[in-house]
Amino acid sequence: MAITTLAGVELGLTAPIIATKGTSNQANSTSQWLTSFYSVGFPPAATAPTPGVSGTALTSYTGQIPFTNPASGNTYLAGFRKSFFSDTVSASQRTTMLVDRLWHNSGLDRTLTTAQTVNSVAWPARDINGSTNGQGVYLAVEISTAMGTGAPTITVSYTNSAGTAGRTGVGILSTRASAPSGHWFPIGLQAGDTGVQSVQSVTFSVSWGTAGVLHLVAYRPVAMINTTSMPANYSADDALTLAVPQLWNDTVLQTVCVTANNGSVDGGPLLVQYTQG
Amino acid sequence: MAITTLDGVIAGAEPPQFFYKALSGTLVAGRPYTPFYAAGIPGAAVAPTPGISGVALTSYAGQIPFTNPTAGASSYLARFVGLSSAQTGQLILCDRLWHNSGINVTLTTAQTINSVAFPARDQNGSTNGAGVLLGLEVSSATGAGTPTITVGYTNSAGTGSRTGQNIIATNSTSAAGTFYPIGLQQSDDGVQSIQSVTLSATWTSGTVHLVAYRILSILPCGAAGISSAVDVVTGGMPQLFDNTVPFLVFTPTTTTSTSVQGSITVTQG
Repeated sequence: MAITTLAGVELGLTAPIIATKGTSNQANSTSQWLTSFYSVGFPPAATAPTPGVSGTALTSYTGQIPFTNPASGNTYLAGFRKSFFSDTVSASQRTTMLVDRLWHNSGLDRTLTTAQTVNSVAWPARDINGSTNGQGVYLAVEISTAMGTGAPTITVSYTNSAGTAGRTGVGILSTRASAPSGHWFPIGLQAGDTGVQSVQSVTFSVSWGTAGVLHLVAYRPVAMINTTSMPANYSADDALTLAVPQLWNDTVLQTVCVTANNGSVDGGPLLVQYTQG
Repeated sequence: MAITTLDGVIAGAEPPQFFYKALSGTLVAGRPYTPFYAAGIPGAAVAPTPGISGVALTSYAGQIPFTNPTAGASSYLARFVGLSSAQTGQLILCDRLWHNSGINVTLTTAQTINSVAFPARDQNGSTNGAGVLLGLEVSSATGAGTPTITVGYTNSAGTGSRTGQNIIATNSTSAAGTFYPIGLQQSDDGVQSIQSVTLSATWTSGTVHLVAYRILSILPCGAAGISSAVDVVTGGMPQLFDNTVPFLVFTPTTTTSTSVQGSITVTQG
């Protein structure tokens, strides 16, 4: 079954979820991505994962935006809104993205400059087609404890969504020394690729210093909205404007912010609403 | 079959297709740039090598993914959201219909193109060329020289011997990704085929391609990092014909390095 009408969207609306995180003192830098996944508030701060280097396929995780599978039928995103507590703080945050977190790992050695074997466990069947192939699934390095000095180039060896192994992805953004918790460094794909099915290894070109904890994350972007710089304003996209992106059962949602200048992350109110049927 | 109701839009919505490209090389205010060859998501395209007469495109590695609908159904743009991370500008979503290779950047006489037929993806879904425009795309940085680009073409009414020139002045050392739009002769509204290209002066080195494309949607990037979006209503619901090859062109307003990020969503029915 699927929702195929506006009346169906209205009929299947679930109660809106209001997420609010504290303002995190994260001295981000221009054009970086940041997540409030590890920040206090509601949902509660996520604990840094410890599944080991091969990681774990996620069907839920404490700290995610709440999600309940439908009794029957499908789930779609029907509302996505964001505001801020502080005009000053919010000036650094420009766009908020909602992503489905499919997989993450732990146990990477931040000081090692040779290839670290990952050999990820299989993703859950939540790529853009609801399969494990990985189309529309991307990788990022996420920081859960502030890093030390060093700004390595990140290189990942992966199998693409067509099943071709030996592919290489490199960080799109430059990493930075002392990257605080919540930093999120997206990995680009090799020429012609459109997604990642599994990860075989990761390599840091130089040591990331004497401190810090990082993770590889596989995610699927679900929606992106602009976030205005006035607390009184509220960016709001509805089911039609969002084009009703489908959320597969066991989706694990979190937000990632795109920043435009140095500043902290404002955890001001975020509203997410689903429709099911 | 066609989508004629909002219910149809909802019923046919496909998953969003994400893009994230870091624009490399020195950007120039007002000079369009395509991230087609840039690293990121989707992975970079490889410079085409189909020869001087080019190839009609039904897919190309490096495009934003597009899947044809079931037989008899149609595709429309339901959402286009995008941002430029570090400067303002304009983000243009296009369908890439045709491109070529083999243009001699040092030759200052007319080079025969005689393009193969464009696919039936002009604004009316035909091969006539209404709404089909031309650009000269740089895939490997050019050397010294600032040639005027003159293209001999047949317009969408089938009239030959029409002439178009680059709208924006060329520059020496144009970075890979630079995209020079070609203007049309008076009263023309599109290009059906290309007969020749002439560079008025040598460009010394580099690799360039002619590209035939159709604009699907345009987004303002009014402030660094702030996304803008159009939905099925505000975007005018442009149709994407079968085998569309979506790619982006960004027009910057400064030289600041930036990235473009966003997604497109198609509805089919």
